[in-house]
Amino acid sequence: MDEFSKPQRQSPVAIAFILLKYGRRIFRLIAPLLIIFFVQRSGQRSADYFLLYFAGAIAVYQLILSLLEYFRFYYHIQGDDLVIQRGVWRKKRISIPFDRIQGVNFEQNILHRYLKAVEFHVDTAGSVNSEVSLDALSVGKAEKLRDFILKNKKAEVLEEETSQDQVQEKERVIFSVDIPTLLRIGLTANHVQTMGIILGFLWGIYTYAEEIFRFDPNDIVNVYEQFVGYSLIIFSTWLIASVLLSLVRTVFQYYNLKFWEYEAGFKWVAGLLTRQEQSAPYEKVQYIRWRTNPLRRIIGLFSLRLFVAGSARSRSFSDLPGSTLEHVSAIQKLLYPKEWLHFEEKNQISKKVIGRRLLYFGIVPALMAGALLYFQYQWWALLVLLWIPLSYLLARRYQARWAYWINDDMIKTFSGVIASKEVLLPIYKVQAVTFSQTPYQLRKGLVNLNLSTAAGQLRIPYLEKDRAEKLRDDILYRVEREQKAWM
Amino acid sequence: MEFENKEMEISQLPKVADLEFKGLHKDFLQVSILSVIVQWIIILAIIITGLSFWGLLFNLKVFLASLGGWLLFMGISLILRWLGFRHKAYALRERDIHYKTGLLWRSETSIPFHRIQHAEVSQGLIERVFKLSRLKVFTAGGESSDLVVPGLEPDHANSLKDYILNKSALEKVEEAEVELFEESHDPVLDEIYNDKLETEGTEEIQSQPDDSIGEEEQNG
Repeated sequence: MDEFSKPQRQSPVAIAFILLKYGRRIFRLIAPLLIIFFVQRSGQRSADYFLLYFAGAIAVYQLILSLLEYFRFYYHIQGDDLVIQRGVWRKKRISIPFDRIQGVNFEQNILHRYLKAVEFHVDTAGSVNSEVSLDALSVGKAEKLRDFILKNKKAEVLEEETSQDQVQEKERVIFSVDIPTLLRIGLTANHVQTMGIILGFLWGIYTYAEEIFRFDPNDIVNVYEQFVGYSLIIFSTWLIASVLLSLVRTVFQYYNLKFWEYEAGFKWVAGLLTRQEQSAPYEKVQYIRWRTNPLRRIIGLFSLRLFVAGSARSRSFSDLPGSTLEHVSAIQKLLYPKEWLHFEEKNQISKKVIGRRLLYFGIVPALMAGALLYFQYQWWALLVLLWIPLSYLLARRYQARWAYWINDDMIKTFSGVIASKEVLLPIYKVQAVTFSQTPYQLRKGLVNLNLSTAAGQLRIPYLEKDRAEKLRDDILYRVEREQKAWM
Repeated sequence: MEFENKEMEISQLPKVADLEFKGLHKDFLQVSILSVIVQWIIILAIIITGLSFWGLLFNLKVFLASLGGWLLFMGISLILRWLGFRHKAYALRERDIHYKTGLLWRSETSIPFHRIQHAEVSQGLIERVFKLSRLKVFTAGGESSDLVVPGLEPDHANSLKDYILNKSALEKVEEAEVELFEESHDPVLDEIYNDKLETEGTEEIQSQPDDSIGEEEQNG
């Protein structure tokens, strides 16, 4: 493509983003120096202006460096490589073969949108350092570049596998999230977690309030403590705030979410102020996970996540709410067209896990909390011990619900105490099988089975040893027999 | 070699559990014990620095107590290392490699050859003295799935590596070429620029807030 054959700079609006980044960096670098400067001044010591000059010099130096960075940054396409030339003091040339590119992602914050530009990320199979991103390209150019890269990448694969006439633009939306669904997702989020976050935040303020605002928060608390009725108000305010916060978070993150399939894989885009976009070629998807909580199960909504081989960056995205079971199974069929997706025998983990979980999550924490609280509340502290029978019930539920299935092609797991989590992994994507045993498990003949893949681990805990051994032999046999590449 | 594609009963599959694992070279016990001692000498140095920092170095009671504690914990870890030695063992089959380790907390890793991305033989300082090498095997599964067999004779380690690499049918993934063109010759500026590159590299990684679906499930 002629448009990209000559080395060229990014869109001039990139300067705005470079300056923005510069601002953030310089603030972090200089803020400590300035604090020292002002603290020393207030301490009546003769002002150490050297620090101020030093900070200024760093700021100016960094500014020049940042601007030069823009003018010395070139990209172009040479043959089947994306070539980046950059560097102020030392010139660096990075060429990335299209083959190695795992995906091209766009990111847009509010300024990008205003300037009609996108941040352009290229994901490669390798360390974070070998990833390349361009601060700003105009939307049209970015799309052209992406399409060019993906098309040429695909062409090489297609030459081997299919004839040219099958190459058609195929884009089909699998699911999208409209405003009512978005609100439902927000309302059914895990509010307990959000409440925890708020509590942590308030606790932080409470602890530091005295130092920061020079007042004693206990004054307020004492007033409230006199009225038991207030605790109800406080609790409901807390709950409402949590729900609102979840709602706002959901809307910002998943506004206008679309998940669709293209010729070579999946793509999705979402976000209110910052639009995120990511693509995952079929063969790079190592396994998929879908989760739900009791509320969402009632309205039939699941969160889907594709675990994609490659960079840490592409791994950290993709937990997408708003799909239904039909969407999940449609995606399964697209990902695994030839694989056998039917499972027969349901397998469970050892009942011995109940006792261990009761001990670790029930008895030990309850006794410790009880002992600590005893000093303050005397016998009332014994109420904490009620956690023990509750945790016993939770541990039983954990064991009862944990299940796995295996057939000739796939492994599936189901787990979760209150929420539920299902994972589907094609066996040939397994990289290594690891047994691990704690001293207790060693005595009782139990094993944790870890299956490593290029995008994370799947763990089946507390298996009876002979079962685990059969599973390992079976998995190794199937991995070693399979000729298909894992990506 | 072609696989026959007929279905196999699971009971007929080759069993890892029946494998004869091979222990490590006996000299590796000494290597392992020496490296524990080196670690504990470093810890002792830290303790002494700490004591002198708090001005307690010449307080006999404190000094003896810390020395006693140090000896006790070093003794325990030496004993564990000594007992753990015979639990370290490896095994090879036609299509995979296995390594097990651990005395109290056991672990056993199996890696099929054609999942191996890279294998290398390396030697630490103490290992060099005892003329031993270690074989490292890497997969795309990340650190948890990498396998290291220490305590091998260098020739043996190298032939193992060659055997594995021959077996791994994986085509080499080309590394992105990074070519450096020297332009500036000012070492100070180069250093500044490298530092800057490093800080930039880490700056852009943002962790995305996880979707707020139930994490009530406790891990463990």
